[in-house]
Amino acid sequence: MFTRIVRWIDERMMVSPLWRDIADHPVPAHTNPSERVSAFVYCFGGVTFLLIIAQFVTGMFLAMDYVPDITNAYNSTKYIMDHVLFGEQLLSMHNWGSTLIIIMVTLHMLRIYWMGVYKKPRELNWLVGVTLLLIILTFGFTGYLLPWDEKAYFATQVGVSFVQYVPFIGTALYEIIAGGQTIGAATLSRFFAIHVLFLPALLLTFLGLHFLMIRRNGITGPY
Amino acid sequence: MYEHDHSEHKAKEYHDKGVVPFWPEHLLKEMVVGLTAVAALFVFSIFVHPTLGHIADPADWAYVPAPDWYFYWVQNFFDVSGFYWSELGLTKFDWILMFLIPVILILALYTAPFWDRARERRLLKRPVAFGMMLFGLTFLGYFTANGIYNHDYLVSQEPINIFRTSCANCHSIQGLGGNNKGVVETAPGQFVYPPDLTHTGSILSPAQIEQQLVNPVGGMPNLHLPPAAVSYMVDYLSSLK
Repeated sequence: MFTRIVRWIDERMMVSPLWRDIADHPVPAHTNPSERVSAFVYCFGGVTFLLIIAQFVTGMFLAMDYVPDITNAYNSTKYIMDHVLFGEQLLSMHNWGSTLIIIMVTLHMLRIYWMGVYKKPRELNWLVGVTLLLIILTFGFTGYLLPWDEKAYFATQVGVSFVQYVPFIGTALYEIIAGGQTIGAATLSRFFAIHVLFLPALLLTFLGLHFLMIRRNGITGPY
Repeated sequence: MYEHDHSEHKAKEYHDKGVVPFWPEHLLKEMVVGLTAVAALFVFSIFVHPTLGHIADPADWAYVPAPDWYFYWVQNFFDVSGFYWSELGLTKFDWILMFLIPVILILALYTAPFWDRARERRLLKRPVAFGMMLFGLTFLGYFTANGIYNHDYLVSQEPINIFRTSCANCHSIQGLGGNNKGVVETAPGQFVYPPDLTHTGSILSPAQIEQQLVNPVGGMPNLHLPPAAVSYMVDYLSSLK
């Protein structure tokens, strides 16, 4: 029965060549943690990806109850923590998840650097990887404002003030990011949109490129 | 569609080459490591919850800003270097410190494959790359630690600054501040006796201290302290035993 359904779909969509292309390619055994325990260093990137998926899931559920305006941002965060079923657990996972992603991404990058993985022919993937790091840091920075407590407000005030020093366009750039002369309602809704719409789109695009290039270039051998 | 002899043939070929297929062998084992991390995150999140501070108040002059832990180094690098930059009288060229140097650092990271070009991949045989890594890690480590230390220091100084500006006209702590007569005339013929605050923590509970700061009784004027100042002062005064 199952085979027949798969065959019926496959006749129309021809997914099995695609599936074979994704699934059926050789990976060197030295990257497999069950062959050698020390191979867990090859997993940092994969772990980061899984944690990013967890962030997507917890973030989607948090967005159900979060309201990005200056009175309700704080109150809805409080509401999530106090009244939503598993709300505090969700918020906690999203919060600590970001910390864990930063740690894992750092370890992943150190492994790449340590092993000289970025050398020819993988230069382009390093560029994509550094871009992903900057995207992830921007996720952290924009997400920090969303609870709209004092910690969030003043950290954002300090962080955004740095863009004023960009030559020529500094003041304009500040107003584009903050949505005005000061950090306020416009900043909050902008950061919310950046955090939940712009950055996920960018992140998925660059992750796609990252994985495509890993597939093209393969995994480096042990020196 | 899923020819058996084909996959068996492939399995032997993979085995001879010392490789494993991506699906299922490699991915499932990597998933085990990944799911362990997600499970650790789940369990940790049950026990340790993030805290929500007071609602944002742009007028709060007392709050000491703190970034997320992984941005402490950014803030502290600019604090420290900005201090020396202005000591050297270079404030006219702030854009070099605040824009050019960060851009150079980011570009140095981006261009790693282009300045570390030799075929050699062992880190210890790549002295420039090794040096850059040590520099980077020391830079991050030093400014993160210094940032946390500096933030703790500022938070510990804040209640003393608030005491000097808002309380010391009337009250004293260990002989510092206060009115030398021990009495203040609030209105003609009306006198209050501001207590010595040296042992406040033994006399009042934190809740009572907060109550007195927000809604003062006994002739003390309402200082309209911002929320951060109230919470710093409550912590400070209740530590005075």
